[in-house]
Amino acid sequence: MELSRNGAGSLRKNRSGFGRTLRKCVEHRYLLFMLIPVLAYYLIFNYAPMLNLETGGILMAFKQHRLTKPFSEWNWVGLKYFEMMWRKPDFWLAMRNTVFISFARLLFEFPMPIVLSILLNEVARTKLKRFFQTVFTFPNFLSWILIVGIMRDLLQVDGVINGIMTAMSGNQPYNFLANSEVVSNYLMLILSNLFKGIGWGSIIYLASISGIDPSLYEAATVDGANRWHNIIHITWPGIRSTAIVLLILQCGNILNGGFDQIFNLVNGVNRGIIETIDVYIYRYAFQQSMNQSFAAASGLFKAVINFALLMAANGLARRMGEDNLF
Amino acid sequence: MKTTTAVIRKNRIRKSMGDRIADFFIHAVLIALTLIVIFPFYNMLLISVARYEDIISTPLYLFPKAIDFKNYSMAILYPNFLRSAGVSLFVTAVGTTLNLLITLLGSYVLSRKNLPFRKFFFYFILFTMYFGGGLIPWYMVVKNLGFVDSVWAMIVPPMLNTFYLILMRNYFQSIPESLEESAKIDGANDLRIMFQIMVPVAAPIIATIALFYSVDRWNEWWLALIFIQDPQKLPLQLILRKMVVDATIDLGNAMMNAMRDSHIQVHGRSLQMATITITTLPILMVYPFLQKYFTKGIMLGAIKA
Repeated sequence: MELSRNGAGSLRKNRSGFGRTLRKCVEHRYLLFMLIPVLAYYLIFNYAPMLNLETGGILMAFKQHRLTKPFSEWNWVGLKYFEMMWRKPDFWLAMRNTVFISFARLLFEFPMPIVLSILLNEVARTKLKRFFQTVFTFPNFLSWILIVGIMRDLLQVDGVINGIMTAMSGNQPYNFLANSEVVSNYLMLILSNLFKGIGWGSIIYLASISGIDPSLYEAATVDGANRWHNIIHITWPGIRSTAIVLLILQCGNILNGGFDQIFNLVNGVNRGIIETIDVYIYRYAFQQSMNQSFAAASGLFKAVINFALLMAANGLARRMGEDNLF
Repeated sequence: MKTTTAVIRKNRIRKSMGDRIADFFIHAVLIALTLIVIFPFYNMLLISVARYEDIISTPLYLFPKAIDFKNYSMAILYPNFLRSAGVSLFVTAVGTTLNLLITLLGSYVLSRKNLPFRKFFFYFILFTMYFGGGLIPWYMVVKNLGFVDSVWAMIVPPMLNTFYLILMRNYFQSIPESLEESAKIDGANDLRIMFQIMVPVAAPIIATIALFYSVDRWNEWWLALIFIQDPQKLPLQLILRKMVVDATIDLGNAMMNAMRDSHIQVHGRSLQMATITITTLPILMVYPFLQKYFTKGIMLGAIKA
């Protein structure tokens, strides 16, 4: 609708379109001048990797990788690396892990910041509320290397968690960091991600809550509503649209399953359970066979699917957001 | 002051039994969560100041038997530790400055309604959030630019964060146009309007984004992992990764000699925790400022994404 309206408008006035554009460019030459470094950055670091004659860009995926020769001398091999990828069981294992972990995160991680924000909203004393928030948000600013370092000390065989568990149950210590059990690995990923991100995630919901008209609570309380009624009928409807939009956006990110976290936790024992597609691509690019064409093919495959997912999710989120907010 | 206490007292009287039980449970859950979040940090500090013999002799070391800072003096002797701290500081200082400058330029220009080809530029940038060439093609480009074994590999490739750019652009858009118009009437050009009028007005979002960038640069490890082999140029995070994730504590000569000469025994865990504490410290120091700005900054920027 809007597009066609603008189009018609510009057509009507288009008589001296080029001259006007030129005049506008000259008039705002400072703005355009200031934009040059920004555009250069995106051209070099985002567009050159896509298409580039010197290094090949995504075309690398269609040529035979040669370590010693420049890209122009590699042989075209068509879809060879995509076929290779298709037949590799460990590729599909990484794909499956990525999707499973993402769904586990949607189920168990996603609701937690919402619950936390509702709980925090029920704390009447501002100072106490701010204290809680300060504590919960802090881990978000540490790198995954630091978090994994702290986790390892707690979870290792002679660490505190095993110390408490063996003292209480008398069982043998459990190796949380290197085992191939699905439940313990998923728990480790989800709990550590919550430890790092729950406070940060709740900020956006707290902001939505602060937009709720306080008189709604007062009116409801006068009418005899209790705490629970207020949460269900006022607070939750107030953040529902935010939650839906974030949920949809999260669905668009299903193939991006937290590289930093998993990369620092993965090892030979738990690889089959927690290695995601990004970690897999990294492994083939830099660690395993150094077959960079194969890694590029896997990366391109992921990027294309990811693009479709993100576009779909964002389109949906925009529509839902508008329906719910306005 | 008097009125607020009166209001609180009045509310207290009005609170029903059910309300008080709910209050109790909510606070109990939040306090339990707080303890869970604090405990790993408590454990980190505890182990970092523990003596070797105490860790060895106590199966469940939960309370300090002694507070001993020699683990810290040993951690500093780890090969290239101080150098890598210098690298991290350099990357953070220079990187954040460049980050901020280019993000300011981009976000301000894109927020101007009279920018020619405004929509095109915006989608040109936005597209990169949805699609990329992938890891390997990106790596080849950065490698060809000569960033291998250079500390600039941690500064130039991440010079712009599209998400922060859009946050800042949204903030600039929310500033009333009348401010710019009055400056224009006075004959100021775009460059002057930006630096003398808009930047001071946007101080809260600039502070927020500056802190985000500085934390990101301090936490940088991945770029160093793929581009830097020279042990003299590694950031602190990567030294830590070597100690913690690869668990290869190849104690350097300086460290071995110091330990032998003084008959000091240091537990590997203590060494790791001391290093983690040192690396966490700068973030802890800027955190109060972060805390002050980020909620406000993010919300102001997120008005219309």
